[in-house]
Amino acid sequence: MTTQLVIGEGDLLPDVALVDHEGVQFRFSDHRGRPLLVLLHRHLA
Amino acid sequence: MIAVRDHLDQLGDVLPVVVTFIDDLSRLYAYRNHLEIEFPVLADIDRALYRLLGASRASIVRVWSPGTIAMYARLLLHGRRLRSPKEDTRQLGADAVVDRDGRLHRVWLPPSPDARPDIAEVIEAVAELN
Repeated sequence: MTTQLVIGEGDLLPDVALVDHEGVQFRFSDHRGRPLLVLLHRHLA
Repeated sequence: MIAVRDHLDQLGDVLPVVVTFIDDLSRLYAYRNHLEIEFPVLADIDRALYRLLGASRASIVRVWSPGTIAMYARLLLHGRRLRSPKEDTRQLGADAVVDRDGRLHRVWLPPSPDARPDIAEVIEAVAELN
């Protein structure tokens, strides 16, 4: 059984392995100083 | 995404980022073009961010909520052709505002895939950062 870490409001958003549409690695920490709006896609037609 | 794209002027200096679990970069690029957005579209192939934010997968019953069915009906009425899904249709997604220090300011976890926060609510959450 694995423990699932879930972060909540007030917690620091850590960097995870993300790559952009051009194949470049994207780090949240590179964008400190600017607010982000993160939209997690869900499948819709 | 469309509502965010159409209200960027009310979101100050916020950088929107769309996170998907699409593992094919060409599809990622096409998705960005399809939505006609200029902000980043990212691949979270391992769904690490989905897990971190608590974005869950729903049962078939929750996925096919009345709201989801109504949304598909609207799309069909507007002439949209629906395709067989190649993705995980049970993923519910999430939306979040992150402050300038990199901390989560607000997280919305939807009960069904069609549910998204109203854009006015998003604008209000962003305004709280100023």
